[in-house]
Amino acid sequence: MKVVQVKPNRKYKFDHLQIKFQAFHLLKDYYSGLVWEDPEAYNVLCQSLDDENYFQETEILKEGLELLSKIEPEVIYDFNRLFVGPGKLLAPPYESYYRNYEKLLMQKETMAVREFYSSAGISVNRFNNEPDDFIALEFEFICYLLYKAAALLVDDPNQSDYYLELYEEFLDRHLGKWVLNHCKDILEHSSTELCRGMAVLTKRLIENEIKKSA
Amino acid sequence: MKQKVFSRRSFIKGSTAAGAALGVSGSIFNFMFTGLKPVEAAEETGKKVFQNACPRNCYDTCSILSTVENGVLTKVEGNPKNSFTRGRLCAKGNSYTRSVYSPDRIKYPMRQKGRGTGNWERISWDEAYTEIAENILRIKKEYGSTLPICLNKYSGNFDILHYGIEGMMSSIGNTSRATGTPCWPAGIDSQTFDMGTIYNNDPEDLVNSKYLILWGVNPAWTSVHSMYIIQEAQRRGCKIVAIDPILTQTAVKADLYIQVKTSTDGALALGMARYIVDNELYDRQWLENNSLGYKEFIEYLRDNITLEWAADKTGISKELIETLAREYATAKPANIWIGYGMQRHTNGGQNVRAIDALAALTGNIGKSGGGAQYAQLETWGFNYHAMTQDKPAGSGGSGDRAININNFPAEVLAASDPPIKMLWIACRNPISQDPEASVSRKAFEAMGLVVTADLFMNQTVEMSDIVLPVTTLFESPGVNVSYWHYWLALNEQAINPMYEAKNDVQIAMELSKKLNELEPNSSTYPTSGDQLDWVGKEFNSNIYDQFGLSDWQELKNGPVKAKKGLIAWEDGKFRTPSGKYEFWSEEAGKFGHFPLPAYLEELKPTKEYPLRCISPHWKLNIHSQFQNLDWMEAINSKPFIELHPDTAKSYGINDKDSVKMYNDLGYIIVPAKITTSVPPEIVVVYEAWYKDKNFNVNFTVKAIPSDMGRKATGMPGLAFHDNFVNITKV
Repeated sequence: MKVVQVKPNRKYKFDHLQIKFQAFHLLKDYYSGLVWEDPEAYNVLCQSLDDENYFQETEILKEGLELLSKIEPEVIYDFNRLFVGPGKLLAPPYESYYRNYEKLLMQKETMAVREFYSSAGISVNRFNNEPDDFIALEFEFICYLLYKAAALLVDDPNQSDYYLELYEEFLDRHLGKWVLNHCKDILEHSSTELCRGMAVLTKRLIENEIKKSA
Repeated sequence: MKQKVFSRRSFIKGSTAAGAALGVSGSIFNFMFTGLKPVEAAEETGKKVFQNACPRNCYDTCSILSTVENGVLTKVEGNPKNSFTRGRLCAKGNSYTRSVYSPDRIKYPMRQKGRGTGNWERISWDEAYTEIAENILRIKKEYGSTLPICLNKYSGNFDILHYGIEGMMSSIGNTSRATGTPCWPAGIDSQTFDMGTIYNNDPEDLVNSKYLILWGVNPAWTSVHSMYIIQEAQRRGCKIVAIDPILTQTAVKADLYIQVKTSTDGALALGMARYIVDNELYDRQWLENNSLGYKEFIEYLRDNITLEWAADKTGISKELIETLAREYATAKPANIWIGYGMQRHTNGGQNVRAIDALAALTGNIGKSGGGAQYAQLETWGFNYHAMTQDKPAGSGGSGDRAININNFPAEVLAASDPPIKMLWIACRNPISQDPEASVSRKAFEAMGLVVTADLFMNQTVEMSDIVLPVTTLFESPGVNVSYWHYWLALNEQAINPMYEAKNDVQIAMELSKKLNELEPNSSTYPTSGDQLDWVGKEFNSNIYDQFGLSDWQELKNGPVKAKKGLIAWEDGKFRTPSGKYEFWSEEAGKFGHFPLPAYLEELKPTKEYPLRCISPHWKLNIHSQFQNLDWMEAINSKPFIELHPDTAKSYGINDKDSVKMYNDLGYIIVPAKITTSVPPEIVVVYEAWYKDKNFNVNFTVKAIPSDMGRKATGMPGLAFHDNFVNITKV
């Protein structure tokens, strides 16, 4: 691993970026249908988040996250009912569903996300197959911005700040505007501790990050 | 924080990502793009307009112009180049952006753990193909043929490339096939006996009529573009008469509405014919030159039919029958449009023959502004390249096995030697649309594997093991014609398929590839091919000649209309055995019918079930399509039962009361809508699939065959409207 020297007066320290990155990456993976196999991974993340004062109920969260490593079939069915299908989705993982007045996909709200990606030199791999505002893609974008901010932290602090600004702006203009409602839908409809636990984690993460950037 | 690499597993069965350590790690420097990528070049932007065609089971088969901005379908509108569509769509067509971008669309192949449990897991396409192919090969090995595999595909998409689904079945061997059609077969046979086939005048020619009878058809709801033409004819002085048991939206716009007792249309037609004969208003010259058996028909009328009898049967006064007959016989040209609803009876075929006879007696057939319009298949002369596949050598069985689509579940359960073990459902929602819905469920339960390809979750998907996401009409190419008008339209691929949706032909190709990997030569279906090239392979010189085309690619400029054959039977060459219009049809005799258009007694209600339930088409859907979309739900979100005020009163039912409609087969509970648009002796429940509602009028509909259909479609039709029920307030 590359050794990064961090100046103590930087607003965002490397470790902080790292922890946020990991949390968002976990969410990105989760919504892509990928979970870590080793419960240890969740413990490590939980501990880090706890150190950052993200959570008071660490034990509950830990329990919830540990469940991720032993996915029961019921969890998959619940996950699919919420986010995948084939029936009517109980918590559609798309921004425009929550922000478009007709709750449709691929609408102007989706295009606003596309433009945001584009302004950072990014686009969607499965362009016009997968909505740009699919939650896993939005989380991946956040990870990318954090990664760039961290990578440039030492060599080009101005550029690093630029990516942090994009990060805050994307949270402010996009994720922060809908994910909390999405989590509410999950908590209302989900029947498994795992999906509910993930919704709590997501909610906390977004709430904390919005608060910090405000 | 510790730096450690953790491996992941995937929720998606058969995913290439499953089990792979994709490098998720504790380190921020392990970031890798997966769903996103750095922009290499500017992505496609700007606005483009594509040619599309509505493939639904509808008269209008609209030519559509689709606006695509930045690869996203933003608007659909009627194509003004099509003089039938005239630049307009209907409420359903206008809602297409809703279905393409509905969050509820089926997005990925999925497998249900236990039919009807709602426990679905996402699987990769490869996993889906593997399971399906292994199942097919196992069946073939066990039973010595692929006959235990049964296809139920029909009218969800009438694009010609979609016949590739039948082709896929042929490519694996002899299979069982849902055969026949629920919609219109009795009427098809009638016109086949009378004239040799179904063949209507160009509907745009309706403006030339001086008198037009809309008989059991409701174009204001089911063919909105025809309604414009009808009203244009009216503006030009044509008298419009609507004959229907229900005061439809079409009937209220007519000059004269005649409320006929359900299923007695033949009695009305024969009564009119008797009057025409008695008053010598028939066209003797035309009959002499063009028909066979008219004298026998006249004799039948004189011996068996009186106007008093017809009045008694139909509930229409003798005077009105006389007026109608005189007006119809003396207006030249006079036209009749025969709907599909009126032939959904045990005497439906004979009733249509009696109506056809009126058009022939008065010499209106073969004339602009005249005729007996039912439907046409003249523009359907494609190569059916996607459909026509060779059966693999030695795959067992001696031919496909026909399973009556109109008694599908019972015949699936009864099939033996070999039994049916696997269902493939495409372009259909049989559990919603077939009669005896409870038997449907039993049949599905008896299967080893049920595969359904569909756009949305519905009752059939609920009872499937594997569901495959399919493309909308905007996501794959095709070619469309109508069974009513004479336009031919290319359907261009306007947008990328969303999520993991695939076209049915692509599914067939990829399944074939998998089958051949597992067992060489087990499928003859091509394993690759450009879909648009396949569209081109559907054309031939006859179609080019008919439509004045030199190459199918010219259709990229817009739809074209047939250049000839627009007036049915203009040349007087009927396609009957005699080459004439056959009042006396030996062919009808061979199929067990009386050779003349004679009256066949209608079914009557019983003491136990005194009300007739009619389940006609609803304005916001085509069968099980469209009513699930939010725009439709915004207009109407609930099924209901229409009752005449007198009927409601006698059962103590008030408007909006909850009503149980039942018979020995099943029941539904729906709110009452009290209206004088239905007569007292019938109740009306529109057939539909409502999302998330346990409603299905077919819970009460028995699989009673209509009298005709076997000759032209292989199976008799279904007497949907001979459904007798009782009601009670609940």
